[in-house]
Amino acid sequence: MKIAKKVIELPPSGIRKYFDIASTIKDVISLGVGEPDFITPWRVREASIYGMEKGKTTYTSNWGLLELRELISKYTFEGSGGDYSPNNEILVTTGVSEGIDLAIRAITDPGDEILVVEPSYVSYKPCVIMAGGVPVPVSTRAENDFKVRREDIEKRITRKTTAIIMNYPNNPTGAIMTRKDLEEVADVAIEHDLMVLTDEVYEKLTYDGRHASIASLNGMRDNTILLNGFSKAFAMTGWRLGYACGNADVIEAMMKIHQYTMLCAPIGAQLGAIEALKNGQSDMQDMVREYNRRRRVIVRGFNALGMDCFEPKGAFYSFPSIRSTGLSSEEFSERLLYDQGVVTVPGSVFGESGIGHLRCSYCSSMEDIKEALARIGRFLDTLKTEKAPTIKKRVKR
Amino acid sequence: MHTRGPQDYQGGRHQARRGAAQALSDYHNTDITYHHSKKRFRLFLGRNVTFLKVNAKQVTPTTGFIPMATSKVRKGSSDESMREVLELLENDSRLTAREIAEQTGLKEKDVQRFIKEMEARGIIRHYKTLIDWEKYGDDSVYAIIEVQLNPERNVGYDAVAERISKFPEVVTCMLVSGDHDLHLVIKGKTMKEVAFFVAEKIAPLSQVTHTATHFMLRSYKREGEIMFEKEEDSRLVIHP
Ligand SMILES: Cc1ncc(COP(=O)(O)O)c(C=O)c1O
Repeated sequence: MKIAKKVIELPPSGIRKYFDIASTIKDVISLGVGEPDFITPWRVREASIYGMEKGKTTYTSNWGLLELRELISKYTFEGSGGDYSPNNEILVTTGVSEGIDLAIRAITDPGDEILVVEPSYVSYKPCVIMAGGVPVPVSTRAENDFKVRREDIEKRITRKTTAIIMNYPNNPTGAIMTRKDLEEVADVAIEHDLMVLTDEVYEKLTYDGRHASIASLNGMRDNTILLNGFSKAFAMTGWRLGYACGNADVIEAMMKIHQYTMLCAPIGAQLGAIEALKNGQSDMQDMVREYNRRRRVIVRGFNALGMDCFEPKGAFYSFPSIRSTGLSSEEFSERLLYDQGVVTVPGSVFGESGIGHLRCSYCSSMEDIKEALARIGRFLDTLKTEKAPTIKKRVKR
Repeated sequence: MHTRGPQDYQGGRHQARRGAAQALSDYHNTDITYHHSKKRFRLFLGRNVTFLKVNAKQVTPTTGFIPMATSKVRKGSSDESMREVLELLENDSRLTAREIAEQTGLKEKDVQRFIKEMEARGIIRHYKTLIDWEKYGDDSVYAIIEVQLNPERNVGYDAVAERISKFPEVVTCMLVSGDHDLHLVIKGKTMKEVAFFVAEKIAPLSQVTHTATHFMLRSYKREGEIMFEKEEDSRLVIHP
């Protein structure tokens, strides 16, 4: 049996292990889920079911339903300055996941270096590798609120660098970038002629101020591939629906790959998405408000426990530091899971700059979040008593 | 030679306002500039331009300025967060002022004061729990009664509606449009009890011309709450 070398060499997902442990433990509370705990708003489900009833079960255009692309153009770019034509600058994909893969494949030749801003969502690097490119990490730090800065990027640029992938609001940190922060990145991109792949799937989940897209900055429209989707904002993870926007040539290139691999996104999902964009805004806002309440509770909770947690301004993750405990993030996660049945994801899974942190999503009920915080508090107490002898020894000396 | 004069003071103040505009721009992720001659902040919201009126005394270039301006930018935002307090309480009346403050980012004291005020003004009417009595095993009987009325001179429907509302058996009493006037929900121990109540207390009132009784068989949704089994959480505990 032959398996391609490229695939064999792909590192396995760092999360698998915790999943296997969790499945053996009773009464687990999961802060490990990056998926809304809401069910897709009923009106969206109903619209999709109605379409099925009416026999809408066919392929759609490779680009996706025109009505959907028109709505995407209207709702995504209203007031943002960067608007894309529904005819040839917007491609409907099967989730942002496919969009990421298409975008990378469409612009990567073997050996091209692609900068990946870290801590980052887990799929960027493997996608770059599978496209024959070389992923190059760009670190960000808690001290800078995990924003990527001009000098961080410039340090990593070589003659082979062709693009940069970033994701704000960010998974796993919850960091956002303001327009001013993005100007810096835009300057570098233009100076070095880099393509910017921006994954804005958490765009609607921004809690303070407004979301800004790098695509809407001066001179960036054609240098950007904007990726977005319905999974998070409309609680539609299982529907597998996203979209990509960019310059017509790039989108055309992505469409070519899409045409031969996916053909088109599922029609039922597209019908649901049309309803979501037309009438789902208030359902979405209700969800966002609920996330915001949980965000306040969880961040406050971690800080009260002495786990430094900067304030995430977007997405639905908190990213507290566990450095004060002296454990590595893997150790912490694993022991917390065994001791208290709380599932978290070690920050190291998201790249080197996530080391010393824990990703805790707040896609769980308020009760679960409070209970999880209480359990983490108990876990920290056991760590302290464990450490007491060592500290005493030190004092004696 | 240069001496300090009113001109400089003016300049200083404009400087401060420009600083505030910068801080505001960052906060709102949009362009906010200070308009010198109009003494206003100019705010771009998409294609629209809005001017903010600002009390000069409150302008400082620090973030201290932002909460005040924010409430102007997001029109009625404080109303909105107070509304959120009411919504939270509507969904769970057990929440303490402290818990509400934690969730909304408001001050505990403000929440307390607001709730007191809402109670005093009769906007918060009552703290109640929605119970599925059927599931508990209780066999109370509910009926919807449609009542047609002859309105009275001067008092219209109010006098008779208020009179009917006072019976403890009447759970709900609403004036409605359509082919009947009052919509009642009656609670009783047995169908017979409800039927007699309607026959003896409601139908004989001189203003009542017609009643129709519908016994409730099953509740699917009450007060916005789905009363059948909800969808389960089928997410994996961790992924991908
Ligand atoms: C940053 C980021 N991008 C993309 C995805 C995947 O989105 P989709 O469900 O649209 O494929 C996720 C999911 O967790 C994510 O966090």
